[in-house]
Amino acid sequence: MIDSVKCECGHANPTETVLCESCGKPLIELPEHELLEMRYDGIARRSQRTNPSVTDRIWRFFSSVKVAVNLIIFTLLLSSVGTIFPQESTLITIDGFKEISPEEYYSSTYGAAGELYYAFGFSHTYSSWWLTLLLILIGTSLVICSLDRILPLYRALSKQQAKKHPFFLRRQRLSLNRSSFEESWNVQFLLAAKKHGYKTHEVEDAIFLEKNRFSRWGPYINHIGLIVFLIALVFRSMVPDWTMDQYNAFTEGEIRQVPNTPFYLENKKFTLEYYPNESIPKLFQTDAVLYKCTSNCDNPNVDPTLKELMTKPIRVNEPLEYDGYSFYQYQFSIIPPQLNSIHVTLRSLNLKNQQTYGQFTLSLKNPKPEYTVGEYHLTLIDYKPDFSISADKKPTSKTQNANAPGFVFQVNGPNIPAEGKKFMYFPLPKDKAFYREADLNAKVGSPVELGVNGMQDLNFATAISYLNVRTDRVLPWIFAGIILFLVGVSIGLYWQHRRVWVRFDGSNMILGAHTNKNWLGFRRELYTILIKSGLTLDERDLVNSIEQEKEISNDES
Amino acid sequence: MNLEVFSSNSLLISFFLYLISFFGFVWSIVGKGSLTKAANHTERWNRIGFGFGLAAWLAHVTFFLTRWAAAGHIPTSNMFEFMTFLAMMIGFTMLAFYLYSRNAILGAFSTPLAAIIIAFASVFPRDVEPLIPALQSYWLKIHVTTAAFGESFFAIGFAAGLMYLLRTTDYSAKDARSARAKRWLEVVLSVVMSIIVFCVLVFSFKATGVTYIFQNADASKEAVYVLPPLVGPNPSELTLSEASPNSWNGVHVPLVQAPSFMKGKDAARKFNTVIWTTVITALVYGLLRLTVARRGLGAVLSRMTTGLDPEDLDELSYRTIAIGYPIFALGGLLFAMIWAKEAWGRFWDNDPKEVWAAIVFLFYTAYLHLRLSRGWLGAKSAWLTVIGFLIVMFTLVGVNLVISGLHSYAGV
Ligand code: HEM
Repeated sequence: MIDSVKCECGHANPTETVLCESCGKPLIELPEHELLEMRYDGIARRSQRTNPSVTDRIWRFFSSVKVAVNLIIFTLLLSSVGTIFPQESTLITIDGFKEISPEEYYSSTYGAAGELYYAFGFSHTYSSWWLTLLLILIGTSLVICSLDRILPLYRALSKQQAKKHPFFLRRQRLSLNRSSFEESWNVQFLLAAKKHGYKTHEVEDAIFLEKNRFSRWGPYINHIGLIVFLIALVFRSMVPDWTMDQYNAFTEGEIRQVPNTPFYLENKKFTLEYYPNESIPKLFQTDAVLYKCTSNCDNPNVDPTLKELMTKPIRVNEPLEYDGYSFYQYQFSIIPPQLNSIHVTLRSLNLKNQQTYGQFTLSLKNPKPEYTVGEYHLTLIDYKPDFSISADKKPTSKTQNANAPGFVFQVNGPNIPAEGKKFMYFPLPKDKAFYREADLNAKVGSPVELGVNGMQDLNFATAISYLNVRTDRVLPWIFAGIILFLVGVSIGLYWQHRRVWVRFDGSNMILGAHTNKNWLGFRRELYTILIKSGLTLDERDLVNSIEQEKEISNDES
Repeated sequence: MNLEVFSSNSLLISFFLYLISFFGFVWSIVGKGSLTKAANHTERWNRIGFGFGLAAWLAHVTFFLTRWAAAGHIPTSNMFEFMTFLAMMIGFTMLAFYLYSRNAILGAFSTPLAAIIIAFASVFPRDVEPLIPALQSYWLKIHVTTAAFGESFFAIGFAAGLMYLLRTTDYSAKDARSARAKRWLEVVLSVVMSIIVFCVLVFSFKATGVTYIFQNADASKEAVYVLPPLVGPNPSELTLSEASPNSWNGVHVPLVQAPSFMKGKDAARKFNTVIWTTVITALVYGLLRLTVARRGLGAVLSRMTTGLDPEDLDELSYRTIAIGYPIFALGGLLFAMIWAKEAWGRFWDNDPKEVWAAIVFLFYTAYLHLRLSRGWLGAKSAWLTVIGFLIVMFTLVGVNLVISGLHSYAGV
């Protein structure tokens, strides 16, 4: 800094400094009969300039704690108004809400108050521009107030010298004056102070005690934590890729691509349990398998190649988490049982000496076009999920639901002519009988058929599970900000920066002491140290005479 | 005896022990011996107060642990359980601060706080309920217990702040400032008294076993009144069922119907409760003013605080809040966010309960800034602790009674 004010002790202070950074002598005229304002050690702060420019004025506005408290109170009041009636964003869960506009909803449900509520925008308080603006103002205030104080304070605390000006000492809140003093007292005093954890600093004719200076950084650490938190919030709303929030349905037994992600998820089984004799549900659980597509991901004709990543039962408080993505159990619906897939066995049609060639899984939702079973190769020629014969005698499907699935395959392999043989497969026994599958296959001369070995080969879907898929890449920053905040608060509130200055002028001793918080505790500690050092005094003697006079006049008025 | 019954009995015992402890502390301050400055009067009665306070707290802990065992999950999942837990934390914090400050008056103000909260909690349904899936998380336990622990410091800060105000308000002065302070102290004390009145009313009428049931045509909706329905629901919504008595001590019920803007099956019932509580509180207050408290409730309590050092009270009240603030932020915000993220997938939902927890946090933030940076000490700071605790209580109970949200405490 170029501009500076030289103190009589020889130290060059930045202009606008109130108390010399080194010896503490006031550099400007201060009122008589007032204690020194020690909050920031009388440092020069930009916000205190006497001839402010426009930027200085803005700076002063944002660095004021009064403004900060008002901003906080405003935020608090407006947020509380937002809780009077439900927010628009929560209304979708209310029956019949879709049919009416939010405006109608508020006026019909809450009358005139509701109308006003909607008109003033309180129905979306937490996404409103004014609440956002308030948060931005608070953030600005936090940054500026911290910058305004932290650097000058750091400088002042590192420059302080042990020997302070008598004026400085006499105007501390705790101060003591003794004449006819013995030199040997020092030793006892320093010993007692060290026992109480003070760092001691002795120079000619002066003693300086200090402890817990780090606690001065507490408020700034907590504000930095808050700034991290606020910035994370802003980024969260500005960068869409960093957050995702979607709801996807997964039918039991189905592998489905999770939209907007590289994943596929299989709902192996959904479980719903109730408490015995209660209608309160105890458990919703989706047994999920997560896959990643490794090839054929965008080819509609070929099934993608999936690699299994992990298996986990997803419950309400236990999401599946993978690579920053979380899958939460959100909702479910129970559906009539639907056949999902069958584990079929390929075997010879010859009933007497039946041979089996192998097994594969046949999906009823989207069967694959080709299968290789042992030495045989099956091609799916036609599939009707809800098989029936139309008026013009052609096979059709009545619906897309697998109510009466019917397959036509072509089989190639050992002892089959090169052009292959066709055969039909009806998985459900009623259709098998009704369309006479065995007769049809025998007629076309198919050497093979498909069949199941029992119920265990049938896979039904009985529920759809709705999972909420989310990513939130800023979450670690949000939590880090809060933790930093808590650390800062604890440092600032549970430790206090305590300082004691003693100055000897011949046989006269002046003592001044300052703490940034918790004066009662400090006074008691200093009193104990002084008693231990061999002084005789009353605890009230430490109170500055200016204060004592004030108290007396207060009591009288 | 089954565990659940044993547990309820422990709570009842704890409640009465808190009251005895309260009388012990009060006697230590106003008893005959304290007037004549009899040797060791104060010490003896303090020891009695503390002893019963400790016994009350141990009974309270017994209640908590046995209920935990009976329910199979930590009992903090409905309003009754949460509030009794808060009272238990208040008991703990009170005992700890008593040991630290040896201040009987602190006991005299905190034990009734614990007792009132227990009584108030008991108005809500007390059944042990199984946990719905969203509540089955250990983060929930951590969140609820830490938040309640933080709030218990706000409660003691409130007690100390109130004591400060009673101590420093000059009841013989006539100036406008003292008059205003006296008036507002009467308001705060009447609010506390109305909670006691409310509990007494509910318990007395419950003891008679009479309820008044209003139903709609197909009995799919009903409103059950324990207090005689001076104000009934709108007859187009619900009417008094055949089985319910249609008069109370000769008064035809319902006396009047709720105004038409009060919709919803419980609005009229809540309004009825408010009327009962207000009227009886006013009667009791009037009676007290005519007999023992001619110059106001504050004047009586103020006399009890004469021996105290206001600076100590001010410092005590600040310290409790300085301790409670980060604990509350940890439990009520950080752990709440972690749990919300696990249960709902969002760390913040703007649910009314969450917003109010944030309001509590912001309020005490303002308190700290005003006190530490703007030098608000003494009365200003004490009033803030009183207002702060009212906001805490609104967040706990008011939000569930007045506004509903995702925090589905059953029965409220
Ligand atoms: C809006 C702008 C803000 C400004 C200008 C501001 C300013 C300050 C200042 C100057 C201090 C130091 C007090 C002292 O010891 O002399 C302080 C302390 C503190 N601030 Fe802020 N603050 C702001 C916002 C916040 C917010 C939003 C929070 C919390 C949500 C917060 C939490 C705290 C806490 C807990 C302390 C006390 C810590 C301690 O003294 O150890 N501040 N603030």
